Amino acid sequence: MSIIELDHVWEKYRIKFVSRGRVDWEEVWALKDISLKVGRGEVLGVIGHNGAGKSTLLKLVSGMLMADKGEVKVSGKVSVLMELGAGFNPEFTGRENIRLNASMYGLEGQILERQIEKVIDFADLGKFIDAPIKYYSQGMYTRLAFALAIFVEPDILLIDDILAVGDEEARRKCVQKVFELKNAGKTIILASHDMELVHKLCDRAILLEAGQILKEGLPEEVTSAYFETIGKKSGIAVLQKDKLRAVFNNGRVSLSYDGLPLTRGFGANVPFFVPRIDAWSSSSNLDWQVKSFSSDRIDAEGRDLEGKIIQVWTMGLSDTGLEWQVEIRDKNCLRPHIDLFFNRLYAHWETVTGRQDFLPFSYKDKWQQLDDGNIRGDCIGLTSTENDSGLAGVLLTKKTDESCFRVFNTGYEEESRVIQLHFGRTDSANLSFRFFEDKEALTLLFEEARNNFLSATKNKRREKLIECAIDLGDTRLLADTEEKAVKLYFRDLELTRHSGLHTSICVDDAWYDHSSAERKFRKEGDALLLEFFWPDFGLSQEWRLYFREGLLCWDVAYSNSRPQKIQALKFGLLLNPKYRRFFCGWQQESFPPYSENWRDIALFVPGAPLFGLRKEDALPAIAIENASGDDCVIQNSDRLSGCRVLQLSLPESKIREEKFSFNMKIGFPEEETMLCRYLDEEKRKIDLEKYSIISGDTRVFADPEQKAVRIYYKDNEVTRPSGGLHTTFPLRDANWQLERRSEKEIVLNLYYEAPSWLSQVLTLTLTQEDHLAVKCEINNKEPLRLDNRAFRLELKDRYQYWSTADERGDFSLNQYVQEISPVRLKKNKVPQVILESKKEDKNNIGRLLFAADTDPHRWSLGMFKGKDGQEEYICLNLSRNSTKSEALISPGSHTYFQGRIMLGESVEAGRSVSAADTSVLERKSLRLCFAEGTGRIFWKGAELTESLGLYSSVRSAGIWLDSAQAVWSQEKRGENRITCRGEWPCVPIAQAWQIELIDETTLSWEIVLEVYEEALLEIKQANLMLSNKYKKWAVTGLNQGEFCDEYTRDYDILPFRFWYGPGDTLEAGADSLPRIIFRNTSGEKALKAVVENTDYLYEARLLQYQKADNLKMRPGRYPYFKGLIKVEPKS
Amino acid sequence: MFKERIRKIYSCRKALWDLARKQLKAKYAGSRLGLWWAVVAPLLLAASINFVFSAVFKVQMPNYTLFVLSGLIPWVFSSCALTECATSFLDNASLLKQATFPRELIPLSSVLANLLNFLIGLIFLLPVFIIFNPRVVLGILPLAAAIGLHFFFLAGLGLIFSVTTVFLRDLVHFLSVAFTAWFWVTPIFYSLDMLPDHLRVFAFLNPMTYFVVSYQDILFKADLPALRVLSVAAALSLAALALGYGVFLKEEAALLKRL
Repeated sequence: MSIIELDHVWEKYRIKFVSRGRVDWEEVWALKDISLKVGRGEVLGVIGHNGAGKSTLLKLVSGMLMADKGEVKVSGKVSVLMELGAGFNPEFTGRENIRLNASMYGLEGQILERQIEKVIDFADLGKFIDAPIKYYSQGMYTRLAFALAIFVEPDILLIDDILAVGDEEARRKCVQKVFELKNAGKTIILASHDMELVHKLCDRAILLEAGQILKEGLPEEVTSAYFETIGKKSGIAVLQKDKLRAVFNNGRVSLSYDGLPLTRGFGANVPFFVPRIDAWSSSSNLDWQVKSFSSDRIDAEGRDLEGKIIQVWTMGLSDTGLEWQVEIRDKNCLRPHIDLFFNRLYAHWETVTGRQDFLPFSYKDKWQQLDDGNIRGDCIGLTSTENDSGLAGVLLTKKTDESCFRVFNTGYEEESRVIQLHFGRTDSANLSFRFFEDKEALTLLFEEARNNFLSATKNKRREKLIECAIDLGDTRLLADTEEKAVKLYFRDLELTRHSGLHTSICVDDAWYDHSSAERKFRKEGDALLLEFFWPDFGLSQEWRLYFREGLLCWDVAYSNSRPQKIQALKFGLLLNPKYRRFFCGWQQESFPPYSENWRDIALFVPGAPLFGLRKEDALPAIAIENASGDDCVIQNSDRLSGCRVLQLSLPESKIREEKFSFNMKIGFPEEETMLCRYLDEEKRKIDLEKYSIISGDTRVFADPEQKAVRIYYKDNEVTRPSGGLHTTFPLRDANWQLERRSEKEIVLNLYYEAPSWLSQVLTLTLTQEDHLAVKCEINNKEPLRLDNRAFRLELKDRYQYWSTADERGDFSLNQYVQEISPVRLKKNKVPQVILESKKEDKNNIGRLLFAADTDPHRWSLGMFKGKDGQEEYICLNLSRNSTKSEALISPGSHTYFQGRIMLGESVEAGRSVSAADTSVLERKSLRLCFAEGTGRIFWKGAELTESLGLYSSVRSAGIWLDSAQAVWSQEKRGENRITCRGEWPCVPIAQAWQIELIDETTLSWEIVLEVYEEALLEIKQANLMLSNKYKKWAVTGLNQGEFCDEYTRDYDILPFRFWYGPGDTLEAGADSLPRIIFRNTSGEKALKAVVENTDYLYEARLLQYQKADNLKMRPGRYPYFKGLIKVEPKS
Repeated sequence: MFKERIRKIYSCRKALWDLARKQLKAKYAGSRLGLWWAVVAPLLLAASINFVFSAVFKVQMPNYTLFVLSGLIPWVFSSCALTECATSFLDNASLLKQATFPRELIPLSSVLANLLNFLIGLIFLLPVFIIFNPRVVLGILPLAAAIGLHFFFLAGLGLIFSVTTVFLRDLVHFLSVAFTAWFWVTPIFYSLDMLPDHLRVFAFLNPMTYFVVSYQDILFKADLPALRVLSVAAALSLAALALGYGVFLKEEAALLKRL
């Protein structure tokens, strides 16, 4: 049942023509006698030139126009997408426009509200829905207008090519919605210029031309008929014979048989590469002129913009089918090839070697190559499956040997099968088409062709075999005069590719091989004698190939009458791309993927005595002996040639000579083990020689392959396999340059790619037995900001105990939290740590010492155990405390770490670390020791404080930084006063402290905060850490209590807190110690008083004043804290 | 067919209402006074007329301003409605392409929009009349009838104008002049009595006279308009409507092609 019916409809316009004052009214018939029916749920496409009558047709269906003659019957609600935004007022907002125009579009009643929501949703304008639409972009406008028209929920939707307007996003959405409507069973008429959309969306299509329906039918048919009509008329010609129809249209050819289009889209064209603009162009871009045209022949010329003839095409009908010849006239067209786009319904392609199926389309736009790059024979046949409606089979035959076929799938956007014919070296290509309605006939033809081909090749081979081949066991060497190649076979598998054994000569920056030489091949007894002569260069080579002792010997006698010209000379083999791995000396790798050009592979040992390819499936390994130490060359060819290359490149010295001889021995070791053993052996030797230093029981190995430094003690690896020593910039990321200065010293130069002006030098010296000195240096050409200078040692988990100058610990007690188990040190400003091995490893590993040798007070030790999958490891990290101002390094060379690693049983602390700078204030019984940001208080010799004592802490960006971590410098020291200044690492602040002994029981403490750069300081504290002998606490005038003896285990969770609130005097009392009072005299109300226990590490009491104001502070000086510490002795 | 169209208009009454609303909003969109112009405009015009004719021409009539106002507001309504209506098809050409409603709604909506405008003005100015003469309150019903007749008259005329404008753009220019002249010959700023007898005939040839006089009778004199006047007005409305619709239907097809 059709819901749209046009019955002999005629429509005319009266148009006023005004010219030179004269006004003429003329009647123009826009539609002439149009009859068509559209059923419910059908999608009809209307295509045609501009002015063909598409819009008029749609207007008639929508009721906008009334037919002059004939009848238009439409049943159902119609929504028209012809002019977007009809009725929109730019002053009103999107929402208002929707509301105001909704009823005019046909939205009413109950569904109005719901649909309006849907419209706003679809338009996806965010808050812009409430902005006047005069501010909208084109895409936004399109989406809104489209949404409104669509959500009317029409039965019939008329679309007049408005889907071309708007941005990509808008268009995609609209098209998707249209598809949804189609699936929902709506009837759609689409007038469009987008052929792909018509193909995908429409069930049927009509072609309108000058008001009449030219063609009606399936979209593919109609669009291909359309193609015939577009383009410059003088470049279009049609050949028709019986059922075959070939249309040439301005550089494109489309074929149809029996009304069915065989080609897709625009048919076939000839693309070529233009080096001048470094881009691809096509025959369709040229300006075509059909020079001569008869019923069975077309001659056409294509010119470029300047009028130069680029391509000449000739198409002719023959008895059997179609002949097509393309000639390239312009030398600047490189790599021309014919691209034939065939209907996607073609399912199989066959050549003389066999029949294959076209794979389904997998990529969106990318082309997929389906052949293996080596199509034999000179014809290809295409057939569709049995079920498909009579798509004729096609047989393509190429006439020249030079050209070669390729088979592709396009992406599924284009959905075509592509047969490509490359011209090869010639300027022209000749293709003939034969069409088969009967698929059987085509198959039979191929059977025959196949047989012929096989027998022909067999004959050829037989000839060659007799003529020019030598064998040894399963290996055969064949010199093929015809194909100008010297090929190697192993059990009938071709090992070589293209020219096989070859020579490459570089003269005047251009490379030549033996294909440009005069050749003479002959067999002499058990050897092949090949003579080559290059007349251009006066070079001659005489090759003698024979088998001896299981190896193929290649002797070359070379004579050169003009030595100066030759720049490089190589001999080698082009080999089967199935080989995946190569080796050179001890280097073993896989070939990288092919690229656009021939690529050399980087070889570590260019003069290796043995190199070649490793075994791959049925292909044997190939090994070339390089007795004379010439340069080995291993290459990947470009994508087109697809092969591997092994060559020996002769040194300049030899090339200069007039005459010389050269020989190469090629072996085919079948036994993998032998080759493997050889390779491992080589590697070990090299490792030991080049990259290790040994002293005593210790061996240090710098592994360039893994890019790691590894330490071995008594041949047991102490460091982590993935790398033991780590500098500030990772070793892994750098380009290594190793220098083994002596048996005891290795220097590693590390160059980085980003930044390129940065490099490091790592010097490893075994100064004594089992004593490794390490020095790290940075070379920077530009100023560098280095906040963190660290040296890290990663070791295997064979150590159990650790000890620093102040503490000891046991790794096995550590617990893991997310793969890391840190060791907390009370005092981490130590430059040295000693590790002791586990009991079972005592004899194997012994002990290890890791220390920094310079500035002992500026290093912080970090230790943790880590877990990486199953592997557990120990990490020792020495990092330098630098202040913000020290972080900037000017260009130059800068040693940032100098230290040592000692191994063995007898490792001891050795040098003792001198005490840090301490200042002491003393009067009678009271003594204060200030060192490195901590202040310890003593009364009559007994310490009242614990660990850190008097210290301040700051929290910024979630990280706590104590005054103990800062870098302190004393500025002044008086009898009763200490003035010092500490610069914080990581945060751009410093604190100036003044501690003064006021009387024999009282100390005053004043802190001023200096901020250099804007910093966010979340919490600021001034603390007094007291010994846990203190049992009672009090906040004068507010509260008091007793300390409990529990300390939290987890670092980050609040410790046991007894007071948090106002208060300006805190007290603590103990039985054996005097009472101590900590008072806040700054008068700042924002400072809160805190009384708490520390965590398990210190097990001490904490009296604290805290300000948690989360303040972003500007540079400047700010008062931080002012307080008094008073000791009240027991009376 | 006529009936069918009426039915269709009825079913699309929401569209008509929305169209009218849209036009009204668009008219004052962006202006500060907005809808208040419906009140202010006639007031300003009345004031100026009052000044000229009382002070300069020394017209002797008590409450002259009120008299002028009573005839002026409907006049402003008429002239605006017809002017906007004339170009309605041209302005809304894009909407026609989307049209799921009968096309005559476009000129009709113009008139309707102006009716709304008129009513809004009236609502604020009616109290003025009532204050002056409380008996005006009794005339609400006749007022509604008069407005109704007036509307249909304008609708019919509007249809004719809108259709004609599509083919003859000149009409727009003609109308702008015509309304000015028409203003003079309609007894708005003078009463019928003021006309000399021999000229009074011409006044009665002017269709607008009947409507204006009706308003003046109801609002100013607080009287029912004479039956003669009313019946002529009714006849005129019917005629205009019939003629207008007929012209529209005839030319609809050609109209669409022109746009």
